[in-house]
Amino acid sequence: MNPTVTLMKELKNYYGNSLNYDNINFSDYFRSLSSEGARQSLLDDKQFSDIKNQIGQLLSRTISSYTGNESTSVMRDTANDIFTSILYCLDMCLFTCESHESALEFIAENSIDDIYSNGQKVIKQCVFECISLLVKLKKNRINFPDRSYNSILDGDIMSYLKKYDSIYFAHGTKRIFPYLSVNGCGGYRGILHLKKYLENLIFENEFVNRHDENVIQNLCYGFCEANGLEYNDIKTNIYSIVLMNMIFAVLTEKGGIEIDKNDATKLTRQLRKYPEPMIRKMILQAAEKVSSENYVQISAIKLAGHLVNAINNNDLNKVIYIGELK
Amino acid sequence: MYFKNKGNKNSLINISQMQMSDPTALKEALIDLNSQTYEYGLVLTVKQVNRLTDCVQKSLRESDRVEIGAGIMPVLAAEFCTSVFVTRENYAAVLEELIHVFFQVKTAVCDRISDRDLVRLLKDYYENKAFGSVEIMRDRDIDRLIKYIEMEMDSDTSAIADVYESDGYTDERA
Repeated sequence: MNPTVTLMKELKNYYGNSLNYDNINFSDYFRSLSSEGARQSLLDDKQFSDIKNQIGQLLSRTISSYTGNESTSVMRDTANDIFTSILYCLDMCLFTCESHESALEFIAENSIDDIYSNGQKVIKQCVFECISLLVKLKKNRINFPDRSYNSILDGDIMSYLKKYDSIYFAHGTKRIFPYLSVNGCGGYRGILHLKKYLENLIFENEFVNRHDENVIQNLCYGFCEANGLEYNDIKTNIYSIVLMNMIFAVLTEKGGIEIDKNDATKLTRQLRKYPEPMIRKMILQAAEKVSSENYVQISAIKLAGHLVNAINNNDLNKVIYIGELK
Repeated sequence: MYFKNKGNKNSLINISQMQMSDPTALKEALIDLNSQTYEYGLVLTVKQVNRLTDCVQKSLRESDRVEIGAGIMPVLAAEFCTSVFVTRENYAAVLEELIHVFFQVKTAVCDRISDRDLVRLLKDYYENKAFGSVEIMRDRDIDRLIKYIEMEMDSDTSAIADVYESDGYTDERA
C-alpha cells in the first residue's frame, strides 16, 4: 500500500480526522481537497506536484483534441473553460467516495487520467439519470397550458441534454430555463444542476397533483384572470400558488386550498397589526401544518417574503387566488 | 510543461500556475530547423532562439492566448524560410514580428482557421500584398489583413459548398 495512504490511516487512528473540513469546498471539490491534503502533509510535495503535472498534461491533450489537432493555441477563456471542465469531471468521480478521507486516498492511489475517465463515466450515468427523471416528470406533469412550463418538459431540457458537452464544458449550467422551481439548485453546476432542478420539479408536480385536477386548473385560471394574464403565460410557479393558497387557508383556520374573499380581507387586516418577523413566523408555522416535508419548509421560507409584501401592500391577488374553486 | 511557484503547496491548483507551452521543446525545434533552413542561408543563433522564445511568451500574454507544446513558431519559420523576402539579416526579426501578427489575427478571427491555413495565408499576404514588409502587416495593414483572411476563409467555405451543390456531387445517404 502507498506509504502516504498508510500514514493517512495511522493519523486518522491516532488523532481522528486530520483534514480541516472547513477548507473543503464541494463546488470546487478536487482542488480544495487536494490542497487541504497537501497542507496537512497527507500528500507530499512530490505527489502534489505530480498531480499538477498530470492535470497540465491532461489539459494539453484536451486542448489539442478541442482544436482537432489543427491549432497549437487557444484563447485563454477557452483554456479556462476546458480546465474547469476537467476539474468538474474529477469532482464527479470523487463525489462517489464515501468520505473526504477516502476521496483523498483515491487521489493518492490513482492517476489523474484514471480519476478523469471514472468521472466521465459518472457524468454519463448522471445524464441517463436525468433522462429517466425527465420521463418521470413528464408522467406527472401538471395539466395546465402554461407555455413556459410545457416548453421545458417538451423540449428545453432534452435539447440541453443533447447539447451537453461532458468533455469541454461539463460544468456548463443552463440557468435560464423559462420555468423556475421554487427551491434553488443548491449551488450545483453542470449536469448535477439539471438533476437537482428535475428532482425539484418532480416534487412540485407531485405536490400539486395531490389535489384534484379541476381544482388546480380553476385555481390557475382564476389566478390568471385576477392578474390579467393569458392562460398560457402564468408567469409564476404553479406550485408556489398552490402552496401559498394552502398556507393562507391554514392561517384563516379553514384549511384546504380555497380562500374566501371575506376571510382574506379579515385575515389581511388582522395580520397587518403584527410586525413582519411575527407574520413570517406565522407563515412558517402554517407551512408546517400544510406539510412537514423538507422541500415545503424551504419553499415556505423562500415564499414568506412575497406573502408578507402582498399582505402589507394589500396585493394578495398577485401571490394567491382568492375566490371559489368549483 | 513546467510549473511556476513549485513550492507553494497551500494554493489551489490553478491554470495560471501551468505553463502550457514548452520553451525547451520550442528551442530544440528551432535549433533542429537550422539544418533545413541552412540551404536557404538562414540560421538562428542560440541568442536569437532565446529571444524568439521570450517573444512568443510576450505575444501570448498580449493576445491573451494559451499555447501548447512547441507552438507555432517552428511552423512559421519552416514556412517563411522559403520566401524571397527573408534574408540572413532579417530572418529572426521577421519571425519576431510574425508571431505577434499570427496571434493577433488568430484571435481576431475567433480561432475559426487552422494554424496551417493561417500560416499559408499570412505568407501569401506577406509576399503578394505586403511585398516583404512585416511591419506593414502588423501596423498599417492589420485590419485589411484580417479582412483578407476572413474573405479567404469564406471563399474556402463557399468552394466546399459549391462542390456539394454541383451536379457531380451525389449524396450517398439519399
